[in-house]
Amino acid sequence: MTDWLKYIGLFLLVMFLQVMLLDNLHWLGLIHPFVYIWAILLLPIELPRWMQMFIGAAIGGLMDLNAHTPGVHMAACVMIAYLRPLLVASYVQDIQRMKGAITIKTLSPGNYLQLLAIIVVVHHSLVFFLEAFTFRHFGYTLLQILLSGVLSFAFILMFEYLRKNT
Amino acid sequence: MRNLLQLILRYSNFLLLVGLEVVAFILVVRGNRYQYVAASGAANGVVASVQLVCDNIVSYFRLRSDNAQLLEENAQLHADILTLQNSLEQTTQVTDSTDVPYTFADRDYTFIPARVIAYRTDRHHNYLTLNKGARDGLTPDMGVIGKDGIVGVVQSVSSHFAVVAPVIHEGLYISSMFRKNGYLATLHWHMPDTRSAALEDVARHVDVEVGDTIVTSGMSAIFPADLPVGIVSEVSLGEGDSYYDIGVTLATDFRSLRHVHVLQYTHRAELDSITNR
Repeated sequence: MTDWLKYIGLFLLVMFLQVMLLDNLHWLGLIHPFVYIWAILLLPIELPRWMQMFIGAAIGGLMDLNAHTPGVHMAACVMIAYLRPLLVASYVQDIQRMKGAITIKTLSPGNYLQLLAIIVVVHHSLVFFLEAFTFRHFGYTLLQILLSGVLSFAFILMFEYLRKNT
Repeated sequence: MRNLLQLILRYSNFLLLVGLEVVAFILVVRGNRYQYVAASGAANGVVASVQLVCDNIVSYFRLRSDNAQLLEENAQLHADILTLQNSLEQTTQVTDSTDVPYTFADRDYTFIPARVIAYRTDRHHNYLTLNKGARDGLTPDMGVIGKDGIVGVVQSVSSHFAVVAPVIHEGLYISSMFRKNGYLATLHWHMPDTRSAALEDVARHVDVEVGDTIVTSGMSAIFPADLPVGIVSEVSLGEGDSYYDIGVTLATDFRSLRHVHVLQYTHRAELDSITNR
């Protein structure tokens, strides 16, 4: 029960940061970090996978409402919610025995960084390409993915670090 | 039959993934059509209320520049009044002063002032949210202008708020013309440069120069004619091309836009009914 309260608290905090701060920064019109995907990374791994995907769809849908991009974040979030258990299963022997959020502590730092990098790249690629909905400005979209991805990666690591120390 | 059920069960997660992705894709494709872009977005109360709270806080820090902008607009209006008074005097000298004041039907617009409470300029489909809505007489497809020129078209309204597709929205095509010769063209924006757009459909026989002023054409009830759109900043014409590539510096700077007017066309219903007859 307290785990769920803690999760909801973190979820609200990270959504607040995303909507109030990061969505309002215009870094050259190019860089737009999405740290809210941390909320999907923190979902308890023992939840049934279909439920993880539905929660992912709901979180993405919320972001879409806020960003006026119907379906874009939803598609990306469902994809990473589907991939996360598969990725975790490839790192650990017995995923059935794992409980709670996936963090640096539950995986080794190396594995966690790898997981985070894959999730961020998949999510950002889907978001930026679906939003552009064309391959005409391919280089520009790639640059968006790269720069925003690096920043999201750094932010989420920072959150992980802060969480570990509190 | 049992085998099929087993198969579905085994791949249930993957099938769910495909199902949800298909739903999301339908939303994306539908959302890319101009009419649907913000239909469910910021005009919905909760999101807009959050934006209003944000804006109420931020607007304190902008008082100084807002004042400057309003003063500038005032000055412009005073100048306009003077010009109008002069021309009025000239006309009353020649016509009978008891005549009923008469406006041309295509100039019969009412102005509703509004404030921009949220905006996005770094997307393909940008938007502005206004603090006026259906309650104040706003409906979709009304034109919006700022102090420098046209701003956009109202896309969706709720009772208190409205979402505007600005000129810098890739789904929007603005019917424009050259002020000097009235040649019609279409203005279309593509990201990322918020200060310039492209002018399409200008054939090679037309005389185009850098510095030409582009204004609205008045060919729809959204904008009256002769509102500033932008100024031609670059012109190029390939050897075998039949159309120019023209870049236009937009009149409105969307990054510093705070106060706008929504244009309400008095004879809209009448015009619509006669054109659709």
